[in-house]
Amino acid sequence: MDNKLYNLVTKEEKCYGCGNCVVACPVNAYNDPAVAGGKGPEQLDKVIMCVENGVIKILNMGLCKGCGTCIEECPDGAIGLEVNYTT
Amino acid sequence: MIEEKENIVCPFCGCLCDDGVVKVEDNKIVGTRNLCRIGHKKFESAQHGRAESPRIRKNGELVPVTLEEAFDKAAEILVNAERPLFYGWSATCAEATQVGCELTEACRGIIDCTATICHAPSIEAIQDQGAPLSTLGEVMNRADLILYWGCNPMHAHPRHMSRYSVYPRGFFRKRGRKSRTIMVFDPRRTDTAKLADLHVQISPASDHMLVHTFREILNSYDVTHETVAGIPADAIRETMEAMAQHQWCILFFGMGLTQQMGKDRNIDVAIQLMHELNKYIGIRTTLMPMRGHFNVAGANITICSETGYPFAVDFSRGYPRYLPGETSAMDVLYRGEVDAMLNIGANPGTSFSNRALSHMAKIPLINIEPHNQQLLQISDVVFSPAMVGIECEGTAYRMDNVPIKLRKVVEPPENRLPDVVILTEILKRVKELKGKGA
Amino acid sequence: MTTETELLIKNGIVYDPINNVDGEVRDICIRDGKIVDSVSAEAKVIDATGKAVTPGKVECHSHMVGITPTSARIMRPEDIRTRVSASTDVRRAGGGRTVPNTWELGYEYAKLGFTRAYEAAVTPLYSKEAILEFNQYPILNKGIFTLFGNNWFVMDYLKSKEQDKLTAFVSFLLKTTGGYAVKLVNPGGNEAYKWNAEWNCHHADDPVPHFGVTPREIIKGLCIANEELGLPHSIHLHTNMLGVPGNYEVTLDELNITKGIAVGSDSGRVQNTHITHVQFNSFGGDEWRTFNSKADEIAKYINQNDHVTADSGNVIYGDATTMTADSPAEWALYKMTHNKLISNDTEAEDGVGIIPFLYSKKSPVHSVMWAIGLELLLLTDPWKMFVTTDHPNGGVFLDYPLIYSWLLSKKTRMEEAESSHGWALKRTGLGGIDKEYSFYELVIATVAGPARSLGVAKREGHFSNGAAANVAIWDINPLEDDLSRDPQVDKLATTAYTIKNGEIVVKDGTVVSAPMTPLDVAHAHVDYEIQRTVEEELKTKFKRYYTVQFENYIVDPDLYLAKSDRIDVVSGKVHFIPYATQTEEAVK
Repeated sequence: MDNKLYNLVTKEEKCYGCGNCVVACPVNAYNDPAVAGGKGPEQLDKVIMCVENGVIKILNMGLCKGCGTCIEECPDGAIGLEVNYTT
Repeated sequence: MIEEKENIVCPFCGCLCDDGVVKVEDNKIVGTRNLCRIGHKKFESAQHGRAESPRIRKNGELVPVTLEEAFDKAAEILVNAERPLFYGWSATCAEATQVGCELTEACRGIIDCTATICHAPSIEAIQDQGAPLSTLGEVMNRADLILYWGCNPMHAHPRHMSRYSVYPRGFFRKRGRKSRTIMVFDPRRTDTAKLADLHVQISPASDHMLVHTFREILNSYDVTHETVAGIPADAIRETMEAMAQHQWCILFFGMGLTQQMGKDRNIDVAIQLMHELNKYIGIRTTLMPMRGHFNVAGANITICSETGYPFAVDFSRGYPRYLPGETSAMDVLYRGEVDAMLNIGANPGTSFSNRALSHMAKIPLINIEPHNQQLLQISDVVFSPAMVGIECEGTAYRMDNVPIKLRKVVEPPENRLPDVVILTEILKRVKELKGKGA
Repeated sequence: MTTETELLIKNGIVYDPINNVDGEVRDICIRDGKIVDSVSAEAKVIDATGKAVTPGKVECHSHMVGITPTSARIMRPEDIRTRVSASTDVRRAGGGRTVPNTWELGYEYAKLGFTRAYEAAVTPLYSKEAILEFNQYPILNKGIFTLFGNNWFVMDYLKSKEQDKLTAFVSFLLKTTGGYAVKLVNPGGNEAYKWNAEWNCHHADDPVPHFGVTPREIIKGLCIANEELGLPHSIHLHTNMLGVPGNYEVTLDELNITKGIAVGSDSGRVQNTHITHVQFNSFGGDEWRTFNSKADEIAKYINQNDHVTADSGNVIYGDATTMTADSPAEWALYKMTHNKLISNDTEAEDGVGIIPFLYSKKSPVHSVMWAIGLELLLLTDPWKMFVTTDHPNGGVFLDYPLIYSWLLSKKTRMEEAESSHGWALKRTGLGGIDKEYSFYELVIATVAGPARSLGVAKREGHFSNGAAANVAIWDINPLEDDLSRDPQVDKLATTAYTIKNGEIVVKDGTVVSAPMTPLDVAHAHVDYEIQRTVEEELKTKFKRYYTVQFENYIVDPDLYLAKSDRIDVVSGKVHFIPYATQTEEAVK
């Protein structure tokens, strides 16, 4: 991963595949109108994550600004932020 | 080469998500996208563990036979029965249910769907009170107050919140989750409750009291008890006031309300509360049952348009009769009236009581079910059909009664016919046999 | 040609208003389901001596299939119990009066002499359900009126003043959801209702919340779209403020909107607007206490203007189930009666309300409503005003013969009026009307008029050569019997014979055969470029407006419409393509 302060980490074994994080994510919603309307993403290169094979999968970590919306919407802790302190 | 099939409808729960992507390689399902864990499992496991088809019980063993022989045997069982029961219909398509109604009529039997053990109380309450209903899109576009009562969509309908109610940015609710208030009424601290703005943790089996207390407050009566359903009266009053601050409200309710003490009476008062919110406060309020199977709503609708009644329809007199509690599946099994049964699109093996199952073991049982399920141990004729929504097309109804066409993703295995064809073949033979007898 | 397909109806007293035949004794010849000049000597003969012979009746507005009647069935098991029928070799079992099951509807309509019926309101999102039901609806030809009046796309295009896109959208939605005609219910008002049960559009210039367009713009825009496409039927309009005292002014105002829009279809219709169940929109007074009839005003307008046809929406005393997409009207009824109410709002489209209702002779208001329906029918040209009860809103279609009897006989009508509340005669002009329908006029108002208005008169509704052989034979002799003295209700209630496409389906009040008949779907062609532009726009907006995918919203023609007649409309010319030839085309 690139050197960012925040990185997304996922725990597939805890994930229901509900897609709360996918839809709640402001980046996804801005980039893909289908996600804004609650549907699954159609432009996979423009969204941070999607649900694949029933569990969460990070597609483009580079797009994430670390706002943490997705974490708030996961009741099970299947998605989290990892903090990389450089110094 | 992996082919991605788009806009696939998921034939699992009442959400009937229709934006699934299924990856198919060489007629094998190798993966999905957008579908939740349950939906993924439905597709992934569809092609594994399939029951051999067709089989008939001979000398206590299920032995493979030709389709013709199985059809003949099934028709013979039904024609010789005095009071056959046709049960299930929730995991098959509306077209199959239409044939099923004709078959029931021809055999003068009873047709009942799985609603009889889940949302039948909701239907009975609607027969008392009517109901303000809406489609899920209305919730997405307008709702700013969402109540989940006695249901846990995070586990049972995982994509419900993200697709239809809480998270999507609706036409008039442009900020998605931030535009809405979520309240959960549940005795348990469920995963849904964790996401709510307010979790009202009521004591078990006191839903009826709490709804009534809301109505008391709304109708300007004093709440005389200090606590109701384990909640202080002041807190209930504050909740009511908070609810009244909103513009558009929906109540989603599940088994926690319908199969709780009070059954249809719980829904009855809930509907009255919704009507009163519309009338007195001017918040637009609607409600929706969280239907379980992907086509249980469709079973009710199809049986109703075909026969006039939504479930538990008895044709023993040649015309339809509807007496829940008398002609419903569980009751006729308890009384031991049924002398043959056809099960399709349901698994009574896990949902029926032992008493009902022990009677089912005594009578000839025709089972139309794609997978090896518990009920096979007591079935006498077994058909393994093509799975609707995966291997053949059909119509299903979402929890808000919106019809959606189920798509075909892969070719069915050899000898697996769609439910519609199996039932039509049986019907043909039943009519021939009845014609001979007359 | 085998003789079995030939049929000769001998010596009947023929009524065929489209061909100006008023009670002439002549023979009707049928071969292969069509009316012909002559048949061979081996033809099966029906002796119709002393019997009236009419084309099969056409129901132009009835709520029979779709999610609305089905929700009403779910809500009202008590209604199904009032009337039950067992299955026979020919017919399926069923029952019900106000909301019978699908099969029962087909049989009972056929027994009344109907051979064609239209479902009055189907929300596009639910159209698959209506089509599934119609595919199980025997004997009658049928079609669906698709709801447009509160559609977001319609209002979007009106707001941006893109009439050409609106026209393309109308064509698109009818084609993809299996519709036949454009229906407007309480244009704009339902969208307001979805925000608050008390909100509505109260007159033609009352803007819709958020969208800002007015009912006037919606009616005008859709009427222009309808005529640009040249659809077989005109717009089917249910005006605003239904069921509110004093609403006749809104009705007249809204009728005037489409005056001057030229008819763009060659289907034989002359109107550009059909106003439906106008009885509920002919109320005078300021409130229920001053409630009175303004049927004369409405009748005057319709008689003087050729751009309108109407159906009456009569009230018949007794149990009814009101069901309409006009949710604000149903909400008003709920507040009045506190009976059980189902309302169902559909995303981006329309709403619906259902409530059981009892019309009582003792009620002053109901008595006036009963009289208004009859006034409208008696005062208006029968070519422009057709008999309906807006089944099951004003009454049940099974009771149509009662309305016929009140029209045919002043004596019968006055007996009913005198047993009603005094307002029936005090607040209306019914007592002063001496007119009695002749049998010929009754045939106009139930067969010829609706057939012409609905745009099917080129194919049926008359006995010209080549017309579909849909015939009703009645055990009534209008030449000798004085129907004004005894209108013979029992004989109007069941035909001696109903013949559908040359096949006898009802004989002496018993269903003897129940063929399945196709559904009409209108395919109006628009310019390819604009059609593509609109489809692309819809796809984008769909993601935000709807919870179903665009691709799953469209009705699959193979699964649902395999047995439907296609009505192709190319630049105002209507081409009828029966489904039998469609399969031939496919084979070729």
